[in-house]
Amino acid sequence: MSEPQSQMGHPKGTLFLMALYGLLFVASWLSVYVFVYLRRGGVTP
Amino acid sequence: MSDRTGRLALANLWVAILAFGVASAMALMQALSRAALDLPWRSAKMYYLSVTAHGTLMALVFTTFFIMAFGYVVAERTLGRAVPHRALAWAGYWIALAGTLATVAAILSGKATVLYTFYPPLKAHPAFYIGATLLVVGSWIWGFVIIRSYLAWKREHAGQPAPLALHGMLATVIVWLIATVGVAAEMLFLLIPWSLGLTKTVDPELARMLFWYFGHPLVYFWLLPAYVVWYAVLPKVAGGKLFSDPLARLVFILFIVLSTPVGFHHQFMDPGIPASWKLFHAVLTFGILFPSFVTAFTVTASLEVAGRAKGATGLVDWLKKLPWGDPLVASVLLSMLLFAVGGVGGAINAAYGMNAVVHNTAWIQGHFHLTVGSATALTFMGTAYWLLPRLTGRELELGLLAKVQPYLWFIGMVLFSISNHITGLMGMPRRIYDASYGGSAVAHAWRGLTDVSAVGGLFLFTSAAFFMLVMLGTGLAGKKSAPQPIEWAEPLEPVSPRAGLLDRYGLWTVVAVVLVLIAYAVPLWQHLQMQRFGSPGFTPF
Repeated sequence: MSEPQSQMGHPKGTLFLMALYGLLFVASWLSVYVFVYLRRGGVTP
Repeated sequence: MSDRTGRLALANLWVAILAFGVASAMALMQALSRAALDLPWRSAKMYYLSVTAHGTLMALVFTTFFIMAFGYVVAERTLGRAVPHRALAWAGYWIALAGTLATVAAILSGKATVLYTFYPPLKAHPAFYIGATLLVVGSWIWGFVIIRSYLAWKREHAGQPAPLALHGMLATVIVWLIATVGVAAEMLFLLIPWSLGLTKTVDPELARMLFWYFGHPLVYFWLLPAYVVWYAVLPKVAGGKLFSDPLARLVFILFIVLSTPVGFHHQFMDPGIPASWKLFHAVLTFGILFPSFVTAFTVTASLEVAGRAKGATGLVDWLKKLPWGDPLVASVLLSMLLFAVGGVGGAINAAYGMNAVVHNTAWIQGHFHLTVGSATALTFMGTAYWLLPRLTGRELELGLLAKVQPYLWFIGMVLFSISNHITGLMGMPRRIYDASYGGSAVAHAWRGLTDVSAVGGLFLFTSAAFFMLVMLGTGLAGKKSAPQPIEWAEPLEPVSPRAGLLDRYGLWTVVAVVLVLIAYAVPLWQHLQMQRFGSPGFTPF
């Protein structure tokens, strides 16, 4: 319970979840950019 | 907790809870109205009145009073000394409450149907503006008391860093004090004189600039106390330790610096603001995503620490070891999940070009119900389950309802928010009484989704009712028990006994003010140099 960070090692599960979220974040943003924004014609040239 | 500070915190907490209850009832009416159900008393006037009441009570009253209550608890319990200036703190409470009552009276009497953003030229009764100003004045007094608490402690603990929870609360106060300069200027120089008839017209664009100078950091005023719970309470209740105290301190300092100079991303579609300044605010807005990403990492790692302490060894099996049946833990975990989705929407809102796709659509209400309506409100509800028994010395009543309530909120918010995001992309405007648009073909396409949104509203209302029952049951009829301790999460690694760069609040406040001046001074000056056209007031109902 009280093991310090150095003994616990890297929080591998957290890093995995963060990487997964990062992928979903970028994919979601890009999908709205490509399939909604660009498809409708961007407001900037 | 000393009895006197406990009473002060409880007085603030009860105003927050009652405001939440009234605001929730208003929300149900709106959700059903969106589904075009033939309800008694359904009218455009009632719809917009209820939208105003819901937004004002939830976004300004529930949050502010809850944060003031929690702030007093944090100040006293982390520093181990009674909150000073109690008479002044009570004066602040009564001023804020009087202001709230004036504002609510104006809204419920139908004389302030201006929505919570109170954009002119929509015009409200002076009581609305004066009351809202008094609410802010009351909160300034609260902020003063919190800062004085810290300074008194610091004199006796020279060179030591403030406890993390107080560090977060001080960041909240600093953000709030900087932010409310904008709304104070809007109220005192524009809206109050105009509503009293002292000036004939108002400059809507200047009012919007001042409002959003305040309006976006308002989001962080809501969010930072929630982050205090995530960092300083959640790991303890979940059975773990805070993964990194320095990372948590860094996050709060980044919010002090970056919270305010981002307001123009709410005004990308407004004329009169040069594109270069909008772009500058857009870049800073993306910058402020960073501390929230760091928060996601640190809090999740703290939960991993808790799960591994209970024997988990796999990659993510520690998630199953967390106490999902605890109302506070469930509330915070579910609010984090919803906030993660809201973060994606926020990055779309902040993109200068893409904002045009979602501006003023139902997407926006879908988005901010994931942020303030989930990350903040659900965290605050979970915190209330933890806090009320500790302040009243009573056991939590109706515990089953408290266990179920966060899950109902989660389901309701998924239905409500996702359907609004989709209808927003389909072009459905926000803040409309009749979603059928008189039977137009375009509006017909989003009809099924407005029904999904209404079902989500029913879940949310049921969840809110459960919360109110637990609160009232505990406060009025909870069994008296031995006082439960208010304990804060310990960090995994020892905290340095010496205050460092991240504990220099004066320095970071100066940095924040300089950045605000860079972001706002020139565009405001340019605006004031233009030929401006004032508008008379409009009262649609």
